[in-house]
Amino acid sequence: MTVRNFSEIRGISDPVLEGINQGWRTLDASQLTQSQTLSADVVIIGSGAGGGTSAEVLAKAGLKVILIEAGPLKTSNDFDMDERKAYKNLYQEHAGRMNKNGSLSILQGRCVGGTTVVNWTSSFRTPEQTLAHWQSTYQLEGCSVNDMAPWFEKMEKRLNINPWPVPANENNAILSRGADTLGIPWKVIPRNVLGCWNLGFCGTGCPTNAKQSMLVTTIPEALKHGSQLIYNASAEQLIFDDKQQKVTAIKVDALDDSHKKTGIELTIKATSVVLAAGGINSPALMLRSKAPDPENLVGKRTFLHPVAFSFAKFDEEVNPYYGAPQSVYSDHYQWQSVTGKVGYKLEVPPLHPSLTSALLLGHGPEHVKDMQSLPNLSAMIALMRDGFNNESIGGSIELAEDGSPIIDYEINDYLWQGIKDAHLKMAELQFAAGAKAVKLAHIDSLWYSSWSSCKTAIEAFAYISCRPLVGSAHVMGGLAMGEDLSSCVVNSQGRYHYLDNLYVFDGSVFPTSIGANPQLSIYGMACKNASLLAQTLKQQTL
Amino acid sequence: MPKLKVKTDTLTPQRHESSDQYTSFLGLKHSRRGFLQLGLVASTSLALASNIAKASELIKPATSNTQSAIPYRFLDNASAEFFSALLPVVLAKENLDKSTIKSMLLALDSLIFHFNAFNQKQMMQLFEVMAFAPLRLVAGAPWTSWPQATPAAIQAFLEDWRDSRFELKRMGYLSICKVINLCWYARVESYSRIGYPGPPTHIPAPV
Repeated sequence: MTVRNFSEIRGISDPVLEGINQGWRTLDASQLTQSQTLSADVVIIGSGAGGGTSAEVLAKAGLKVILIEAGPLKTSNDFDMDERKAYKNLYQEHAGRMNKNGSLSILQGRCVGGTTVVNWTSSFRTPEQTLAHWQSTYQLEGCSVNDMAPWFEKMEKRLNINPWPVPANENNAILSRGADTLGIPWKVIPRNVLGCWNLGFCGTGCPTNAKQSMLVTTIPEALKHGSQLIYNASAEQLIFDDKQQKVTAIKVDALDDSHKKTGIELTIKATSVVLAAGGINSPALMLRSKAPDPENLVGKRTFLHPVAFSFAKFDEEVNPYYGAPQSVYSDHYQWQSVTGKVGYKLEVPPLHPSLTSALLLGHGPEHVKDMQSLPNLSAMIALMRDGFNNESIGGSIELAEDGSPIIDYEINDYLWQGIKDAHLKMAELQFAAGAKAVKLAHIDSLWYSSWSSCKTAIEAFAYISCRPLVGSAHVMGGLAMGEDLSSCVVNSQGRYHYLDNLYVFDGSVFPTSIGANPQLSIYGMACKNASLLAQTLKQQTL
Repeated sequence: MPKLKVKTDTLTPQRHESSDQYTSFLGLKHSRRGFLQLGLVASTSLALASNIAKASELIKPATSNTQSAIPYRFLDNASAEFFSALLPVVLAKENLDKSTIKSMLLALDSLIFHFNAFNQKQMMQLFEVMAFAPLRLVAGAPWTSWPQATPAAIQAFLEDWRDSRFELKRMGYLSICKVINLCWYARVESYSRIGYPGPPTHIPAPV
């Protein structure tokens, strides 16, 4: 049996707890015993990639910022690489979030720092094809490759985003090896890390603070500039003026550590409101608030980058739970056509036991046997670029009786075709890399010991819901951005078309999926639009 | 057992037909609405059935004292019995001791407790069906109470749902296996059985 890659992590200071000790303004809403009213220049709803970035920009411009977050505050001292605790504390719905018909499992963060605390650090600029498509189809202005370049550059510097300079772990090396054998181009993934130990536990919160998540970068900077962070605080409703032209206040519910309302309510008044709760929760808040939406577009066109999985067994140990989780990718099948059949990005997921057990599907002795081969397992993923073709309209956000979001996303034949194609291509790559056997994450799949037998088997698989495993870790859309009012609700500067002081700076503004892991797309767009907002607000006060 | 192929346009093999036809008759058609549909049928039937059943205590599962003492936040005795019966079959592990079962039930309870309203409701509806013998029969689950169900009957139920042409059964199968596996393999006790050396020891810094 293998040994642990590091025996011990100690002596890592916790900059967030230290900052709080030094007087940062933080408030744990779960501890409040009295309802109260607060006010600020800007209130930001959500502390992930969009909210964190906006908080830093606006606070440094001298504005009084309140940042609210529904999830808890957990810091490096809490991050002990235990899946059980991490999924409970840091993920939406205990990592059990699903779409309405159960055909898709969704991993999304829920804590101060949002998904940036638990993502696998892959940082790509928005692809030029995607920006061009938004410009031509949604009349998005001022967001060409050249327009966006300085903002991406700024955030790359801010978060130390660089191609991973260390050799890939074996799980990732399998992708590059297979690609080389087949003559398929691949590249090294840029990661937002500083002094990374190459541990492999990005998904459970970085215990060494190497990952440059919002938790250790922009949020501390905003707090140093006098911002206030309120956590365990869920924005329930936006309150509008009589004319429905402005947001006048936000009704916020305090939550206990089980995510249940304590009954204590906060009212936050602000000149401007930044919505940054992500592609599921931002549209849900707009729907709960009955925000003006003449074209009935809020919560429509939700995109998820539906992910297909393929497992491979090797004679040698892979140890797929150790080392930087994602460091190699291939876009070979991504842009063969921008708006034709679905393109996909090939990457690798880390395989920790709990997550892997869900990915492997099934039950009984066969499942146990697969789990027992974990040290010799490798996996590959294909992220479907949804939303570019007319047949890919995405999902929609609905509300449950209690106002919580329901994700209605159907995987249609257009996407199934891509998933099937990706199963074939991933299996081929894994065999080319020397896999002894390959098994697709599909109930119909056995282990196949040759590419030809695997190919024949895949051709006969049933591609219907709840038969292949489909996952998602990227939530986009629902409040589309562009000047075309028949399809968009947010303008090119991120302001909601129908409210004067509501801005949306998160992944929900993307009118299609990105075609790459979205964090840097969100950072860049939020930084650009928050900077513009800061400028506007400063001019108003002069 | 060999795996069964699912085709949308063909029937599943003979042995699944009867229960599927029965569910279809009751309106459990192939549907995107998952357990909501199952639940609608279930709750209507339950409303009728529970009145009849109340006096006879037919609906009340036999529970042990130890189980009712567990401070669940979402599960109840019936759903705890359901999971307890499934654990050895899903995990292929006979003779799970009481404390292991208890810790698994608590983990499952915590997991489902943190689901959003919609997913919780789906689970609730599934449990309602699984708690009541006539509905179990309709759904292709064992007629006997869960503690009495044989591993073979549970295995047959799981395969029936896994390979069903009805989306909601396939969803049910995936959900049941997913929550059990997620909880089981997150346990430190599971690490050594699968060759996982575990994460480094983390010693928090004093603040």
